[in-house]
Amino acid sequence: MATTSSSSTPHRHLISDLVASTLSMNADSEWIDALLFTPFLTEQALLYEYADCLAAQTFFRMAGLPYQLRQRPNVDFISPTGKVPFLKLNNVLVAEFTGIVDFVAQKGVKLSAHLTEVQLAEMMAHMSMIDLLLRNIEIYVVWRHDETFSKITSSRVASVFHWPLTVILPRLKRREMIGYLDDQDWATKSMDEVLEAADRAFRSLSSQLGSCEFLMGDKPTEADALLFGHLYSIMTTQLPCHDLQNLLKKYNNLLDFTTRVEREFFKR
Amino acid sequence: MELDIWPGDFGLPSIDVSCLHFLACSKFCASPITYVTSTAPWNSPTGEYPVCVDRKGKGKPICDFDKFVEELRTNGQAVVIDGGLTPKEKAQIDAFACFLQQRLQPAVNHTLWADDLNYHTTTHYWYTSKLSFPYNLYYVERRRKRVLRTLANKNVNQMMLDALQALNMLSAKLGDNKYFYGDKPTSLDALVFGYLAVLLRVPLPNDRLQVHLSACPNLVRFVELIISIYLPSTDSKQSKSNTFWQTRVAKAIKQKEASAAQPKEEEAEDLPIRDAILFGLGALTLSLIFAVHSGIIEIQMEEEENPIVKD
Repeated sequence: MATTSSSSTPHRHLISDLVASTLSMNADSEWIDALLFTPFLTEQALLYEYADCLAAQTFFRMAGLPYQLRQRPNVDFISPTGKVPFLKLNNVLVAEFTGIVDFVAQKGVKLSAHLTEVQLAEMMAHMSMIDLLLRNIEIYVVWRHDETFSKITSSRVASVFHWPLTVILPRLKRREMIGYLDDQDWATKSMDEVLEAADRAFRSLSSQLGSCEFLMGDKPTEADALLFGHLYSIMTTQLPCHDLQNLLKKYNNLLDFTTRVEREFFKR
Repeated sequence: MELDIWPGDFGLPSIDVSCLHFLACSKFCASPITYVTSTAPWNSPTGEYPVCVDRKGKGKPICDFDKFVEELRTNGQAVVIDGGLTPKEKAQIDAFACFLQQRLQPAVNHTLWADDLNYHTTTHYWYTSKLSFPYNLYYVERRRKRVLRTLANKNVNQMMLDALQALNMLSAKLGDNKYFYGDKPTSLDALVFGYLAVLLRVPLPNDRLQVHLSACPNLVRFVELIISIYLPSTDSKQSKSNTFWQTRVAKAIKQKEASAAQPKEEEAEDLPIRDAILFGLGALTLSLIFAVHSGIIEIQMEEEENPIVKD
């Protein structure tokens, strides 16, 4: 196909194809020794990476699946798609939150099984919103915002390397991420426009949550895991620009949701 | 205000997905915008259409869909778009806009720009025939590269599966209703319409998404309804160009089938031809060298000798 031939990383397609083809074979094997690989969460992971790692953990806890956390410095090099986190079950590697959710669904564990088709569409829509809009906002703040980059991002990326990589790698990565933002038409946005988008995302999620316990009613779904991962990361990560946190603080039900999920799934 | 868009074809007012978004949205609220079909995208600040310009000189040109909707809402149009919706419905519209962007947009872009057969049969031909010569090659190449870059990390099969799933979900969400929210079209309807109309109407040889879409009767009905109410086609030469495109697509499909039927033979033929040419060249060189050395062909150096005699 066209993209495979012209893409810069053909081997990644090959690997993910291999993983995809082995998925169906291994899907019914037992859930033993599930390992979730993440970067060092306190020293290395960036805002959006932390959010995804936390979302995956929340998902396992909501689904009642036992897992062990393994923090490694080079997870993005091991991961089949180059993104964190990834799950290792027996010999299968599954990367990223959506990939893990699909994989677990193939094993018959679904948090959203009770929803109707229309509700499912709404849930997917909100997951897209978190995955696309909220993540782009986080990537923008982490890489594009100069002060955040120089004070936080570059030192976290460099934390697991030695000189001279500590100087080179953050710059290379920054160029790559700004290229990514540029392709999404995000690189030219001003901070105000980004915050406006963030406000829209929070407002939308807040009114979907309403006074319910979870996004889709009184039972947790995959969307709640993802939402909790991102909101908790935004609330607890100390960044030079507090605008994102201040925006979030306007939405009380989102804050209540975060504390509720934390209490129910992480503090037992 | 003035909205610059790509020209239309195939019974659509514009060929481009985002242009259709803008068009449909402004038609929904009966806005007095003048539509200019234009083929000079270098005039736009982003180098792309659509762009909405205020000729009276206030405000920046608008290229972003959300900002355009905001502009339509605040500028006191006859019908306020998304006006009678509850906050929860508005929240869902925002979420579904992201959903379309994440699930459907990559597959549509891939179908139009990254799929080699589709690109060469339709997209490339259409854009190059509308733009003038040296610029057209630059433009299509630049736009294609951009699309390929955004799709670089994606698995094609996964992308198509996502899109098919998204179509199913949209179909379930629409149900038997006329529009997605209530009996008035919203900005979400404009977005869905843009993607689906292009998929439905543009003739393409690799039509996996198109086939799936035409199997969702309510989505097809939805697109036809919006075209007939809001964007009726005024093009009279349409049937003529349609037959042209149909023969072009049929030809491409035939070629695809032919190449799929005998890929091994081609490979087998390929090598001997190259070898034969190399062998022929080698033989020719050797015989020339032999001919020169044995004196069958004589090379005379008269011109160089003459000046020496004179001196």
